[in-house]
Amino acid sequence: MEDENELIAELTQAALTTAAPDELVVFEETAQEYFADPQAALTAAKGDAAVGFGLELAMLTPAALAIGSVVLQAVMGMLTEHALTAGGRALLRKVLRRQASAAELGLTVAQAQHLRLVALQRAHALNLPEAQARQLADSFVHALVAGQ
Amino acid sequence: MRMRLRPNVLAHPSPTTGRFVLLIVMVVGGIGLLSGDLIHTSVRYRPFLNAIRSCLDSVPNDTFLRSCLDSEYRITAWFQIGGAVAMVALSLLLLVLTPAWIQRRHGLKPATVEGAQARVAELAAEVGLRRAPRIFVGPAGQRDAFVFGLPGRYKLVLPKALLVRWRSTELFDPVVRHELAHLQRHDVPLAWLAATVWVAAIPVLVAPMVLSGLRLDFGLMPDFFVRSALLLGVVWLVRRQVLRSREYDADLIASRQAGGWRPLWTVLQMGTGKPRGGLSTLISNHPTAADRMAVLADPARLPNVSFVDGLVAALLAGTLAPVVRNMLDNIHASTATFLWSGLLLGPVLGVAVGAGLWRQALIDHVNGESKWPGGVVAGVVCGLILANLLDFSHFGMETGLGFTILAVFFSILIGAAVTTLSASTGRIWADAAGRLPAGRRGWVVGLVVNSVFFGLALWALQWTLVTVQAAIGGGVDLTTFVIGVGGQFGPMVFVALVPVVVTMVALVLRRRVTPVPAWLLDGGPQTYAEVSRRPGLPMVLLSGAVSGIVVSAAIYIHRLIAGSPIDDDDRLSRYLLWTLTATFAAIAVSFMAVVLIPRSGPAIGLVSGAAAAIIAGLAIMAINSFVIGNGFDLGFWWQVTSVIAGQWFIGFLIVAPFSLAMWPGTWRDMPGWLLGLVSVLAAALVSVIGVGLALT
Repeated sequence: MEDENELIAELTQAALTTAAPDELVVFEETAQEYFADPQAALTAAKGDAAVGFGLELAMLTPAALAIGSVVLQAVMGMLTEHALTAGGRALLRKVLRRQASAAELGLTVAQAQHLRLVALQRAHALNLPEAQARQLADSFVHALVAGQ
Repeated sequence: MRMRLRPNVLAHPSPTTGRFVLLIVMVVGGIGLLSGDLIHTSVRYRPFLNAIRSCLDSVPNDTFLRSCLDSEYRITAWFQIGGAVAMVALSLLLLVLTPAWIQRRHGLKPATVEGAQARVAELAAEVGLRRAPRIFVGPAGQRDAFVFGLPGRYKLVLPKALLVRWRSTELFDPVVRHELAHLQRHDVPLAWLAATVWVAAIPVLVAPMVLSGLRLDFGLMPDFFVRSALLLGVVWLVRRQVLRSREYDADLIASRQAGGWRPLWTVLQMGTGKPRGGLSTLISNHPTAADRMAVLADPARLPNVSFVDGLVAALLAGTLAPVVRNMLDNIHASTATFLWSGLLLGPVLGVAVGAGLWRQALIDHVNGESKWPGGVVAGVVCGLILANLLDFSHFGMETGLGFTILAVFFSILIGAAVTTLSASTGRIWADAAGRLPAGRRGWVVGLVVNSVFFGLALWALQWTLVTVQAAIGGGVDLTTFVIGVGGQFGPMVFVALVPVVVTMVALVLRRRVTPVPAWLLDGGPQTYAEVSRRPGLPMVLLSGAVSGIVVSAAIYIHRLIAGSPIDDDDRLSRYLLWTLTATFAAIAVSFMAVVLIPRSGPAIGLVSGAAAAIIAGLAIMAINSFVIGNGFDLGFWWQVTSVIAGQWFIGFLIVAPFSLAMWPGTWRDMPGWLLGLVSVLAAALVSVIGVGLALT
């Protein structure tokens, strides 16, 4: 489980590099918080504090991690026999760290499009604004196929 | 077309500060004193009863009973003070513990993004804060920014999403500036003290109930519970309402410091927060983003002093006044306790309502608007009525229907008149804005005037009620009323002194044509506002004085026709003719100004009416002493003049609220000669009717 969480975190971190680079400063602590209680991290705390601003400014990271987990599941189901023989998760980690070429994952264009759709559906389910949802979905696909 | 100016609504202090203080004082004073009193009843019931029995046996008559019981009453006072001190101590203790509680509840920890801390320090230094707040962050679900902590050790909580974007000055700076504005205005201790006194009130209220329960005395519990729950409910809602009002001020301060309102407006436009409506608007700590954006774009749209503001301020001050008087009475029984309790609480009501009306007058002055104060007038009236019905000082005692009707009547009379008069004097003062000093010296006048004004009104309300009740208890007819009670109203004229002086000064100051002062504008070019400049002070005084002389002439004509009085009944009817004719003539003079001069009518009518009443009294006495030859008796001069002035003032209180009907009138100036003419004609008509009736 911890291994899978690490992989989700790496995948999400890669996606956030383009989608919300500012948030990477606090990524580690946010990811820990998310894996400890995903629902709490995704839900706004009771706002309207006295002498507050009346703001509702959410981090993208928790939503990205939620999307990352479904994208990871989808990717693992798409890996070719060759990729699985090469140690699926380890290979994926290498690709995300740019230690291996994305081509080794063997994802087709149609599969990449499907991944984008999966990411987009989850983003919509999380009520992310359309522009943000699209950007995040693209970032995930880009993290997996860049350089292919 | 005249350019719409941006008024600097921060030129005068916000009435919300007064409302915060009122709320805190009310809970600490009202509930603390009341609880102490009830605890005393529970634990010292028998010693008190024994002391009464012993005094009844030892003193020759009731006059000495009170002095015999002085020591017992002082013990009661100590219990009351103890209740208030317990409230203060508990509230402060909770206040000190609050930061740790907030930190734990929200899961906050110090932020590690150094760039953000440095930027906050920069902004804090820019706005003149001695110590920058330390930045804290919460979990990912923490999406709003807020400040908490104790003075000198404030903490600023930022959502992580904002913290990591500290380089984005268009997003980060407006939010931080808004929070720093809260710190500058001491909103944190005020807001949390208002919350902790509320929490502290619960055990303090429960204590006497527990003690009563231990004695198996449940008689007072339902009454006590309902009143306390109502009071705490009101206080809870008020705290929320005041917090909402403070947000507008924080927005405006932040935008002034940023050099423009657009950056903050843009952040609000980002659609932060969910749209609200209905009940959530009432209980929310923040106004809607749309309302805040509207006020940022046009500060003149800052919500006016409303019905609710008037209701709550009057309810709290009106409820507390008799409780404080009761406590002062226990320390030292004296009629001066009416005045002291009024003067102690008047400033709070003055700041919460009066200062708000004066600030509104200045805002309206800039744009030539005339927001109607009818809502706040109705609110103050309803608040005073409710306070009298709740009456915590007569807790557990039957006050009787007659007293309740009287209380409602005088609450309407004094509440409506005083609030209308405050709004009206504020108007005339705003007309002289161009000649008023900037900064504290400018608004301190309004603060002092309204504090004294509302303080005297609170005193008058309590004092008049007791006086009239005592008079009615003794059984009065019209003659006794005019001779006895009419004279008793003389001291009420003190309430009129403050606005009379203010109006006279403003009438002089407003004569000179000056542009809207720079301190009253939020940037932009200076220009001339539409100001009422006529009538001037000489014509106002003259219209009253001539009217007074007309009345005295009519009285003299009556004397010439009717001849010397033949017996005591005749002398008494002459006395009634003098005082009643002069009273009604002076009321008519005031009424003319009230209905003919929109907005500043009551203030001007107060001066002209006072002049008419005093001059009529003096002139009648002069004729009596020197023309008719009845001799000079200073005491009689004072009696007649003060009775006329006192009765006129009661009449003035009745006619002053009529100005609410004329408030939206589009004309500003009233030529002095015209005011003089109609005033004299009105006084003459009343005199002819009075003398005519006396002769038939």
